[in-house]
Amino acid sequence: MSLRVATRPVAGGASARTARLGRVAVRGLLHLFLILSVAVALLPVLLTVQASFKSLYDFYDQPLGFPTVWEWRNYVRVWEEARIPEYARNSVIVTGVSVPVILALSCLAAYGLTRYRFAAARYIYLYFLAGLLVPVQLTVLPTLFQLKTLGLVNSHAGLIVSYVALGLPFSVFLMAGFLRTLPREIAEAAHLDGAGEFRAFWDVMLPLNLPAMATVAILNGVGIWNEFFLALILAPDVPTLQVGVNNLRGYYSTEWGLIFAGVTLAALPVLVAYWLLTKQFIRGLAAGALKG
Amino acid sequence: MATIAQIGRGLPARRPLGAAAAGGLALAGFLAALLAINQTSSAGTFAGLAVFAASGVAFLALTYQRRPYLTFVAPALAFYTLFLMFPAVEAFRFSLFNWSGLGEPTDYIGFANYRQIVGNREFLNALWNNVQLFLAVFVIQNLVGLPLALALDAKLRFHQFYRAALFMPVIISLVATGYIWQIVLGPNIGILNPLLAQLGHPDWQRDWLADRFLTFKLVWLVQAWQHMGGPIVIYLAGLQAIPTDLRDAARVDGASPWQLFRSVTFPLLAPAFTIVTATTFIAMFRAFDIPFVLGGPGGTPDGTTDVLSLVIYREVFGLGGVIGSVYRQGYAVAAGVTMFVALLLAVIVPVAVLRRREVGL
Repeated sequence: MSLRVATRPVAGGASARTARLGRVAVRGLLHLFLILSVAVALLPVLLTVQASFKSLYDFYDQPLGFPTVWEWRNYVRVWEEARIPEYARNSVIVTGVSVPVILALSCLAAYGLTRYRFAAARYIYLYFLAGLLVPVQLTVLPTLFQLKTLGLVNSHAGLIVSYVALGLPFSVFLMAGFLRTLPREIAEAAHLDGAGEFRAFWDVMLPLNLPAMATVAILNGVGIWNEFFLALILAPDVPTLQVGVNNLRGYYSTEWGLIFAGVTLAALPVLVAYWLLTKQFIRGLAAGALKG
Repeated sequence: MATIAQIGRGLPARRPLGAAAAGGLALAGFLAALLAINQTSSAGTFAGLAVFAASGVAFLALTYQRRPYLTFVAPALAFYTLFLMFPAVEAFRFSLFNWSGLGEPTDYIGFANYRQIVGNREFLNALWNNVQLFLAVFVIQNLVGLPLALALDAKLRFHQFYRAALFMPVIISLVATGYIWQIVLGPNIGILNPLLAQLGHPDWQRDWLADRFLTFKLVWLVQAWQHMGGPIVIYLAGLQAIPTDLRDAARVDGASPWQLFRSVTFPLLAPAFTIVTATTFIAMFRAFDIPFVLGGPGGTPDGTTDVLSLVIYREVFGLGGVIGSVYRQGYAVAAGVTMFVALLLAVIVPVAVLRRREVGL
């Protein structure tokens, strides 16, 4: 609200009208500023979608305008020729298994660390936090050797364990932070009412923890769906959508319409989820921005 | 979980000897598995993990009644140690060897890899580029992102749509980002060059991705484009946390909008400013995606778009992205460790300084 024109106590109709006019002008300028910024944010994305409908001819002849012919066949061809369903299946499996496992492990750990008072809790918490600073480029090579020993290179399981391990520190951090804001007495009361430790967790604390779980699920879900680097190195023969779409450049060297159809298809699930759950996404991913 | 709880409830509350034995066995199994991974012995690893799993469950069942938190924390702790912290420690060990990445490292050279990094021109060039990248994004997000947060905070009509749209670049993947900016900036299929021609400035056309002077500036802008959503939302949350009566009081006292921002809003925004600056710092020193997409693994042209994570990438995977060729893995990992330690120090100090000038409410 700080940009609104200061409304000093004014006497007389003329200056009141000036003040109102000034306010309208400021609001107009703010709209203009926001619209321009939104254009910068969205235009590259919209151009990609538009490009996915172009024929090869339009790419060179109509670089700026809309396609002269809307080439829906780009999507049909990339779906049928480029193994997109297979990539999509890999992405769905890897993301669909990793996220629930991260949720389960981090939920239990955060609950154990915040609900009970014990000496090691602080150190275990800090030990989890240390993982936030470990760069992926550093651990990727030892991880590759480790997965080789375990026979998990080029498998869904290998990618899943790597993503879960990478997702744990921040998820534990977020959930512990959230659980600390809930009064400890709730679980203790449930315990006194005769519920066992696990029941107190499952029936009482878990439902209260749902907002934090939604944040963790969105943050990790988007991150894993979009992840490229590890997927390329640890499982090139089980390509996820990101790896597969990246490889399209090799199949269709200059058939840009097909490539951008693939790019759009790979981004579609996240985009749809984003427009459906905008608020939760922004909350979750802004929390993720803290991770750096 | 539930099973452990059931077993645990059936057992007597105190079984110190049994618990100690099971716990010791579990720990031994875990360490044996780590050692076996280290020696690339699959059989040993699986045997160790089996012992660990079996005796671990026994240990948790025996201690469940007195120390239930162990059962809650143990699964995540074991997983995290095995698949993240152990590789990190292994990475540090590799950095002490002169090692091409093939087979076991045997040529122990102590800290020679680290000595080579200090004063290495490639490394220093990349480091300086990271510094510039951070400064540029820092300036852009405070000159553009902060005003955008203020504008969103005015609660104009459509502000929810504006916010959603401004945040959207954050959810775009690395691969899509690469293709998107290739279509905008590329010399063959570009958008920008035809646009300049249409606007009557064909002489402004460039090969945007191969220009010694311009390409890295484009890296700044694209990085800011993708990174800005986070800072805008954090600033917005910071603004909304400022009690309205504080600003109303200043306004009644006749403060101008600028005075209001300078003396009330901005000081109270200091916590958000600290968070945004620290996270931007970490993100820009770890930046990999955008420089990789726009300048390639080689930091083309002429290393002008090179950053630290690309130096590490090249040493590990070479320019072609193939593992197992003769690259200096030990050196690469040493560079990674150096980057990690430098980040650790570089983050702790500024955050401590910034925290001090925050105004408490």
